Amino acid sequence: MRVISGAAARLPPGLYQRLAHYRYQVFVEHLGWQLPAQGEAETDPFDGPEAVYVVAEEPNGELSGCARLLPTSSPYLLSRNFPEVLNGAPAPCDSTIWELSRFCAVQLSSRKHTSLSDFPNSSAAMLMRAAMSCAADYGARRLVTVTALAMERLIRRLGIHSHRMGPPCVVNGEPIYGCWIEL
Amino acid sequence: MLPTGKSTVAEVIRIPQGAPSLGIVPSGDGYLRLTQVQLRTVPLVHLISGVDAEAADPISGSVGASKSSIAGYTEWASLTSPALSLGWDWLLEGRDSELRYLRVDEPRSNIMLLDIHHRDLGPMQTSVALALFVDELAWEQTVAEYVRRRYG
Repeated sequence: MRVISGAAARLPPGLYQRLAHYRYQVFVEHLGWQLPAQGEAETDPFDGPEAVYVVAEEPNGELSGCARLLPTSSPYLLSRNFPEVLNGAPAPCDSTIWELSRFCAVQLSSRKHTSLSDFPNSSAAMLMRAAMSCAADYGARRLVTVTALAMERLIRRLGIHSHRMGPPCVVNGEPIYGCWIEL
Repeated sequence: MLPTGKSTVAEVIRIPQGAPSLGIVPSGDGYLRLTQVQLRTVPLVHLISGVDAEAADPISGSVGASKSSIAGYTEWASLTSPALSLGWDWLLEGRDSELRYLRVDEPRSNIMLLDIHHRDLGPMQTSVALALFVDELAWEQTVAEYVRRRYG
C-alpha cells in the first residue's frame, strides 16, 4: 500500500475523480450513508481548495483508504453539521487544529475484516498514522473528528493520545462522538 | 466514519436543555479539568450500553463452540452543562455459575484530573484514577438491567 496526499489540485491526474468515486462506493453504496452524490462521485461543500486528501492505493492501483483534512479556520463538517458533539463548547477555529473526516480503509475487492486485536497492524492504522503525519506537515497540532463511538476504541488501541469532547449522540441509530487527537 | 453528512440526531442520548452548570469551562484542548474531590461530587447517570457486534455474533465455523463471555460498552455522563462523559468496556464473565460484569481497560472520557495544586495529572494518571473511580461506582446492576431490556 502506498499513501498519496495533497490538495485536490496537487494530486496525480485523475486521482481526485477516482477518490470521489471510491468515497461513493464506500460511504453511499457500502455503508449506506445518505450523502449528496454527483452521479457516482461523493463530494460535499467541504471539498474545497483548503481540503487535503490522504489516499491509500494498492500495488494493483485499487484505492483502499482515504481521509480528508481541513483546517478549522475554514468551514468544516463538525462545526456545521454536528455541533451537538461539542458539548456546549465553541467550535474550534484555529489554523493549528485540523479536522479529520471521510476516513475509511476498505479494500472493496476483498472487504477484508479487521478484528479489534489486529487493528494496530492494519491498513486502517497505517492510514490513520499517515493522516496524522500529513496534518502535522501542514502545521496541525491537534485534530478534531466526529466519528462512530466504536472508533474510539480503535484509536485508543493505536496508543494515540485522544479524548472525547462530550457524551456520545445517536445519529441514525449509531452512537457518534466528537474526538480530539493530539499530534 | 459517521452515518450522514447532515445530522439527524435521534437523541436517544441527550443532556437536557437548561441542565445545571457544571461550573467548569472546557479548556482550549477540549478537556474538562477538575480534581478528584470535585469529580466525586458530580452524579453520573447511565446513558446507553451495548453488546459488541463481534461478541454478539455466534462463532462461525466452530462446531459445538459457544462464547464463554460477552463483551460490550457502557456510557455514563453528568446531567450538567458541559457534561462529564465517561465510557468503558465490560466483559460479562461466567464463573462458578455466577455472571459478573467486569470493567475492561481504562475508561474513555473528556476529563483531565488535577492534583491538589491544580496541575494536570496527565492522561495516563487520569486514566488510572478514572478506572479506580469507575470501580467504586455501582454500575454493574444498571448495565445488566439495560442490556437485558435491550437484547432480552
